[in-house]
Amino acid sequence: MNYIKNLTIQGLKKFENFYIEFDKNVNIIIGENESGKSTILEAINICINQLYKNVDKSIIKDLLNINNVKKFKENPSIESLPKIEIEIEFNLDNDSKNNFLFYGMHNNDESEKYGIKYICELNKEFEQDVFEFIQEKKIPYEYYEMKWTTFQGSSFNILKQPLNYLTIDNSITTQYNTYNYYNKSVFKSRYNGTKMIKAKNDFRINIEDIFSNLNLEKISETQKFGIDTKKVILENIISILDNDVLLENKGKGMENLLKTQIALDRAKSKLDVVSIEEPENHLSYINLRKMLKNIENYKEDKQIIITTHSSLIVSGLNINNIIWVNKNESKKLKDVDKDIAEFFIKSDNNNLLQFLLAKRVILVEGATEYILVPKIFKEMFNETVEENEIDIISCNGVKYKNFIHIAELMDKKICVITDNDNSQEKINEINSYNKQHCNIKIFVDNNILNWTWEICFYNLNSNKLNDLIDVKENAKYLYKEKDYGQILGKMLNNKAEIAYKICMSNEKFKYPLYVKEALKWIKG
Amino acid sequence: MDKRVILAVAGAGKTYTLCKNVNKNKRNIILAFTNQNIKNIIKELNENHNEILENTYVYTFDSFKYNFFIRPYEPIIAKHFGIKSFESKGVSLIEPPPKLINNFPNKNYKDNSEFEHYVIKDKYYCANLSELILKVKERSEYNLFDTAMKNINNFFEYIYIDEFQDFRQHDYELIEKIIKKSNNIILVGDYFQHSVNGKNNTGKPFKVGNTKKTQRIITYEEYIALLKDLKLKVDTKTLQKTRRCPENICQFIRKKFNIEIYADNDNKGNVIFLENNDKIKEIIENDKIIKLVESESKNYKFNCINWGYSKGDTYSDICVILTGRYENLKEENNIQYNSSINKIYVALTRTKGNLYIIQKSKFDCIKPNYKKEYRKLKNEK
Repeated sequence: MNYIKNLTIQGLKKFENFYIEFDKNVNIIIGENESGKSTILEAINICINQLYKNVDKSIIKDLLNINNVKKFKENPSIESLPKIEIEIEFNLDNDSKNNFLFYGMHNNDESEKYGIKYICELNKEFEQDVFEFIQEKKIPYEYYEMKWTTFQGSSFNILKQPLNYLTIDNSITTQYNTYNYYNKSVFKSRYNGTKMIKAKNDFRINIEDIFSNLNLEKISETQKFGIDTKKVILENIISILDNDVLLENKGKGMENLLKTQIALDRAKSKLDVVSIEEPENHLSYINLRKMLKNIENYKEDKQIIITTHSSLIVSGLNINNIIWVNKNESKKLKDVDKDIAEFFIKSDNNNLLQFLLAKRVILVEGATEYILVPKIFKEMFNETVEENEIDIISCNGVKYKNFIHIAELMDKKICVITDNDNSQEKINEINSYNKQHCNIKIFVDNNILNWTWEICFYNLNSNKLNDLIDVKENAKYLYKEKDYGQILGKMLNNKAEIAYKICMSNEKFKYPLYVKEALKWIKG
Repeated sequence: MDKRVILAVAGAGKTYTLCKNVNKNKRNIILAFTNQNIKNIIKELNENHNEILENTYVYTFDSFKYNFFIRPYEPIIAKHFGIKSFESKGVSLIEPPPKLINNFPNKNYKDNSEFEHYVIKDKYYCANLSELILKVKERSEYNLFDTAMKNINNFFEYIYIDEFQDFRQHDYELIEKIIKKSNNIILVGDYFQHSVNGKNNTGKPFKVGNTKKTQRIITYEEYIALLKDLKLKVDTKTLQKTRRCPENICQFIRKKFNIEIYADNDNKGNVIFLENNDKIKEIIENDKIIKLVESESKNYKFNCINWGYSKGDTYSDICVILTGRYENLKEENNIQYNSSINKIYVALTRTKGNLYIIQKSKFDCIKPNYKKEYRKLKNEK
């Protein structure tokens, strides 16, 4: 299988020094806004499609890393001029065409592999000409050059591609160019070289014939109209029709769905690698599901790289495929148990993405804690959880153990606030777990009689709650067929509603010790 | 494993057979001696298979060495010579400085343990590429040849080498190693056409013996034994018949030189020794019949070519002008083999029709009439 193994980026946009490794099938890149997700796809495009080769040098200004520019201005010299280096490594099959052109040791660690290296730096021939620029702390973009070399050491000829790559960018709104790139790429990868060249050639000849068959009268003895064949290049004017309707006329959402479908079907498109930027854009829930199904179906025979903000995509595809990008780092969620990975796919849990991106997390059982913990935190420290970059995530029925399993694979501080469920065994288990972990702690009331948050809370604040909560006379408020008294019974039966009431009240409440300990610990 | 060498006779269609042998469903690399050979090979490939072969690549041996043994592994080569880094810009056709000039040591000559022995500025001396590949294997722990060869075996299932007999010395040593380490390799060559053109006409594998006294050229039988030692199947049958020369010409060559060449064609032609002066003049002045002279073809006014340069060519009728050595060719049979025979063999086998022969003594009588007169030309201008 031909696929992208990894990418090293130095000095491009966000990335001073960045490395990312790809899975040979599905890759889901997540990260906060501005974390550099798109820059990763851009870097692939720069290497494989020689993006920016034919544009004005002023583009370099937007590509350079700001820190590198700053370092240059602090200490201007030829050596400190900012530059960009990107290296992309491939896995290429033995029988992949032209593979040997990409194989060799012309790469950073001088080891044998397949790949392309891109460098954007001052052209050495002009070192003497830029003296004045440097004195004025200016970067001489016009004297920069962009070079693409293969690891073999030869210059990379875009007509001899290492693999068939297509990027689908759904984030850009309708533009002639995006369609065109897509149509062109599918056209090129669908038909082999000779077939395409013949089609182009036949088209050009026929269009001239058609025009001359119109028998238009001449302008003068020596002048007549003719076709400028430069303006009717086949791949510039082709488009894909679905049931005779132009793809671009299908509505943004449908268009995206179909584009992805066509790209993913390897037998038809012959693509090795497809990257999709934010596939969730313009897609309804149902269509996004369809797209996920597509990806699931085709993942075996091609590499898919997705950037996304959608929690449906994050939980809908195997979480082992997730790569999250943060500052100058990429981290991979590998080795998640199969059962747990499947669990998240089925549960449709909307909090997984938030959980993955969070720095510090308080995991709580349900709505009550979710509503009240921020209030307690504020009262304890006079600061909000947001100020402390702590996310509160409600497990919503998912066993917190599933989250903890993932947290264990990540370097992340997690506290869990949970109920003891009237089980001494559970308490013991939790205590021994806590002894073994320092970044993850589970907080629970150690008295089995206090088996749930409501009971703990009621025991500490019974007077205030008796005043706060209205009950109907004679109503029993049985909870699981047991009588806990009217007030507590109502609390247990209407958890969220009561929590909201408590949250909005101006009363000073006492809070369970294990909750206070939990918050103290997570704040650190 | 398919390792074969097909030994051919002149005009048997070496390139044609090589290209016919190429399996279009395999990944192949074909190595030729010159860029002209490459053009012929590509033409033959297309004609033979009626399509462009997607997975078949054609390289000259020099460019193969550079692109598959040297360029991908330059960091290793730099390390070997203790150089920080080296990224070459290609291969230079400039001849490296000779070791001796007029028997005196040349101060520009660099020993083969030095990087400059192989490199001029940012290019490699083409002439020393093979030596470099073999050298980096010898000295460092990293075995450049084996690594490169392992990768070549991954890239290609079959290696083909055309005009195998033309490789000498370090090139030959390298090919020997390639033969040993490759999975499938097919070579075609003609023992009797070695040492015909090019500069490096001596040395391995054709020269044997260490001292001047014992030095000689290996025989056809020894050559076959040598190839068998390389675990090659030696095929002397497939290309034993010429598609060019008429049987009468073949018979003549067998009788004179003991070279096994037979005709596989319906061409008609005879060997005709020209005795009569008028007849000689008539043939020499007939521009439709090319004259093959041993050397200095550019000094004659008539249509002619040097024996060495005629290699690979086919003409309808030819006229070979002999050297003094073959004054008695008409009477002499079973001439003892030596490598100088290769050149006359090449000359005699260019025809698909008649073979006219002029003895040196006869030619010398009329030679002055046909010399180009440079001085006179200059004066006229």
